[in-house]
Amino acid sequence: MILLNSREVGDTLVCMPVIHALGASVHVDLAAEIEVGVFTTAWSRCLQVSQAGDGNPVDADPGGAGGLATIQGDGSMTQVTQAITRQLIAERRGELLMLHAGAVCHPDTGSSIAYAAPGGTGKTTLTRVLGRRYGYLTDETVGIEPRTWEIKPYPKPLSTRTAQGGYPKSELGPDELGLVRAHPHPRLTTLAILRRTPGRDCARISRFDLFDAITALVPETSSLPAMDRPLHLLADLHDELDGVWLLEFGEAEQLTDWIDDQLAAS
Amino acid sequence: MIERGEIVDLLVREGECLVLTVRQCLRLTEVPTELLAFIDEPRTLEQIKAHLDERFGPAPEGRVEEIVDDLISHGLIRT
Repeated sequence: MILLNSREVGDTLVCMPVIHALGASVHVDLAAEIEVGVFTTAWSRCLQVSQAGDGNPVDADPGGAGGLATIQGDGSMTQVTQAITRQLIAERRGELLMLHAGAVCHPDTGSSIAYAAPGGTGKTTLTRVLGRRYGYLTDETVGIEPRTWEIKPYPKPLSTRTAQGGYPKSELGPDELGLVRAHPHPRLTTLAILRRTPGRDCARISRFDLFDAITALVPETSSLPAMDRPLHLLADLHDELDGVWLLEFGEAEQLTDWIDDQLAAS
Repeated sequence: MIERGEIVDLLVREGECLVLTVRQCLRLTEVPTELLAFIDEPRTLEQIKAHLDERFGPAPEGRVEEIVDDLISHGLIRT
């Protein structure tokens, strides 16, 4: 089922889709210069709501009606994506531990790896490689339930920089890219920080100590101070996962064997 | 009097700590960690000096003031 609300602007009916992700819902005002078909294709997994008993896994959690994603700038798909992300993060502020990270899960077990990194340092590329075999959860924002460490998926379109100067980014939906669907209840079992050095010829994988892990993670969080005792929460997560990993690499393919082992073992 | 600044969370492990404010996360070594733990209520500079002397032995002249100034500059404590 696709939920497409609308509103009237003069004689025109403007589409207002509802996006479900991070366990929340937001409305999107598509008065911007984007065709509805293009939008629904790119956001296919956030618009779909589970049909009870249909046996199909779902990627997005339906939630109650949420806020409105306010689109600023040129109204491009990139701006729309940024507006939706901002609104979803605002909706879950103080409730979810949110990391600037990509994530995939084992489609059968739900065991999941999240890999945090600043923008433009390899999250989306790694996600596209891993998503051919593992369930796609997000390429940008991982929302984690405190204590249960269940991941609330955000299977947004994947943003990649275009050849023409890197902006605007192109936005391709996970279905367009053929990415695997996620397990219905993904749970974080491995957490890593990515550090990509172009040209590096092999990966180096090491484990942070507790304080280094938290210090590396904090800049890759959203709204962390709004959480209850956030440093203790990160310490609990570190202990639960038996550490946080540092993945130094050149190309995404250098990490796949190690990630295979992690997701098979947990 | 000296009191804590706007600290969101403080995580202490093996004498050292991480401090989170709305702007940053800082790692503190043993002496500033003890200082921060001690001012769970407003204290005078003399009380702080006496506490750190008792805990770590006499500090070089001016050292406690340096630590206090450093913590103030990061917003972790205030006067």
